[in-house]
Amino acid sequence: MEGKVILSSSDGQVFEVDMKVAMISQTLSNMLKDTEDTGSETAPIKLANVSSRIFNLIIEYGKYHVEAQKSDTSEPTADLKKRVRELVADDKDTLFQLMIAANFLHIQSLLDLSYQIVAEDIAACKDQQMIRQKYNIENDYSPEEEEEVLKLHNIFE
Amino acid sequence: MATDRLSALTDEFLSTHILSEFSYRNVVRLCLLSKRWRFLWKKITFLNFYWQDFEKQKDFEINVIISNALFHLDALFHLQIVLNGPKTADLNNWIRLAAEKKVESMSLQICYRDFSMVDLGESLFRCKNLTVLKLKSINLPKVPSNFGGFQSLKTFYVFDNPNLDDATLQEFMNMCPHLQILSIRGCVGLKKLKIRASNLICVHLGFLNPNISLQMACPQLTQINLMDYGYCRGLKLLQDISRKESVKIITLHNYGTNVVNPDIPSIVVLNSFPQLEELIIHGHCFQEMISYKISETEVTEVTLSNLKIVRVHIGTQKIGQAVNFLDFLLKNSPLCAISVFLSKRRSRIMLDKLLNLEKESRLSTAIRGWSTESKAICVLCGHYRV
Repeated sequence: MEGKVILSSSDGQVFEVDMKVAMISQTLSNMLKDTEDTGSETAPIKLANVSSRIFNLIIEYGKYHVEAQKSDTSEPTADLKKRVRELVADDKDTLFQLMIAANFLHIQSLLDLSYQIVAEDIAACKDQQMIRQKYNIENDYSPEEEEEVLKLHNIFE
Repeated sequence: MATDRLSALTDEFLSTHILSEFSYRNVVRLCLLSKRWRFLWKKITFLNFYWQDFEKQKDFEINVIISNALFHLDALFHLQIVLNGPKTADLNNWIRLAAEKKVESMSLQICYRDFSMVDLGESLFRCKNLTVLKLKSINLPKVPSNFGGFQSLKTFYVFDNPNLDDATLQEFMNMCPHLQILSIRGCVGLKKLKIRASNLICVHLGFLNPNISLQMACPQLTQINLMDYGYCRGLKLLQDISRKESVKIITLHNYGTNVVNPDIPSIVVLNSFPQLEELIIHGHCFQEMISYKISETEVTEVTLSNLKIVRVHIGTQKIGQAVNFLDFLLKNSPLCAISVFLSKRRSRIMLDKLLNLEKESRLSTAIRGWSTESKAICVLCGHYRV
C-alpha cells in the first residue's frame, strides 16, 4: 500500500502519516482495509485514546520500525529498544501512556518493547524502596504485615 | 503527587507481560512493595530460576524455594531452571510439580559441582502438555513401555550431552510424533543419526562427532542449519539427506578452521535442492566455498532456479573471489538480494565492487540498507524482504 493516511488525535490535531508507518498498527491496518474495500472517501480517522504528544512518539517509532525491517542489522530489537528509550527519555508517565496507546492501536512490537523496558527498569532497582520511589507506589503495609512479608522472603537474602 | 501507573495495571497485564521476564527472585522482591503486590507472584505463569539468584543458598534451601514456588502457583506455562554448581538437585520432584500444573514449556540446565550429569527420571513423562522441551547437560530418561508419547511436543532441544547414544535418542524421538523443530548440539556420543519425523520443519545440528552419519527422512523439512561442520563436512551431511525437494533455507556456520577438500562439488550439492530459496554462509565456510573452483562441467548443470537471498559473512577472505562467487550466483539464479557482513576496513572496496555488480544485474535498486555497527558494516542490495 502506498500513499498517506489522515489521522486525528484525541485533542484534535490532524496528522498525515505514511501508509507504511500506519500499517504497523493492527487496528489501523484493519480499518484501512475496510475503507479500501468499500471504496469510500477517507475522512480523518479519529484516535480517541491517543493524545497528540504520544501520537508523535508513535509515528517516530513507526518510522524506526519500518527502517529496521528494511535493513539487516544483526540485532534489530536491541536497536529498536534503544530508540524507544530515547523517545520516552526516562519519563515513566510517557512510557505508560505509550504502552496504553500501543495496546489500543495493536502495535505488538512496541508493546513488547515497553514491557521489556519496564521490566528492565524494575530489575535494575536496588531495593523495593527504590522501586516505590520510581513508580510512586505507596507502601500500605502495616509494620506488622511488612515484618511478616519480609520474613517470608528473607530466604533469598 | 504523581500517580502510581504501574500498580494500576491489571493483574493479567502485570503477571503475563511485565513479570514474565523476571527471575523468580525479582518477582518475590516485588511482594514487598505494597498490598497490591503481595500475592501477585502466584499469578505468574513463567517461572525462571537462575543460579545467580542462589549464590548464598545451600542445596536444600534451593530445593525448598523452587518446590515451594511450584507448589503455590495458580498455573504454570513456562519453567526455566538454570543451575550451576549444586551437589544435588531435586529435579524430578520439580518436574513432578510442574506436570501437575500442566506445564507447556520447559528449559532445564543443571551443571553439578563435580561435572557429573543429572539424570532425569520418569517424572518427565507426566508432562503431557509439553510443546517445548530444552535440555542442557541432562541425561534423557528411559521411556516407560506404557507411555503414549508427547502428543503436543513441537520443539525439542538436546544440548551438551556427551553420554547420549543413538538408541536412547532414537527411542525418545519416537515418542514425539509431531515434532517440528529439532536441535542437537554437543552430543559427541552419537554415531548414526536417524531422523524420521513426518512433521519436522527445521533442524539444527552442531558440535557433533565429525564422522557422524546422517539419515534423514523428513518430507516437510524446509530449513537446515549446520553449525561447526566446516564446509566440506557440512556438504557431506547435506548430500545424505534423502528428501531434498522441500528444503528452502540452508545455513552453514563454522567457527573452526577446515581443510579445503576440492573433491566435493559444492555447487552440485546445492543444486540438488531444487526449492532452495535462501543460503546463509558464515565464517570459514564461505572461504572454502569461494576458494573452490567452479569447473566448466558444473556450470552447465546449474539450476538454482529458486535461490532468492544469499547472506554471507566475510572475514579474511579475498574480496575479489567473494565478488566472483556472488557474480556466479547472480548469473545462474533469480537471486534478488545479497546481504554481506564484512569488516569495516574492507567495506569500501567491497561496496564499490558490489555496486559494480549491480549495474549489470537485476539488483538494480540502489543499496537499501547501510548500517554501521561497532565491528561490522552490513551491505544490502536489491529487494530484500519483499
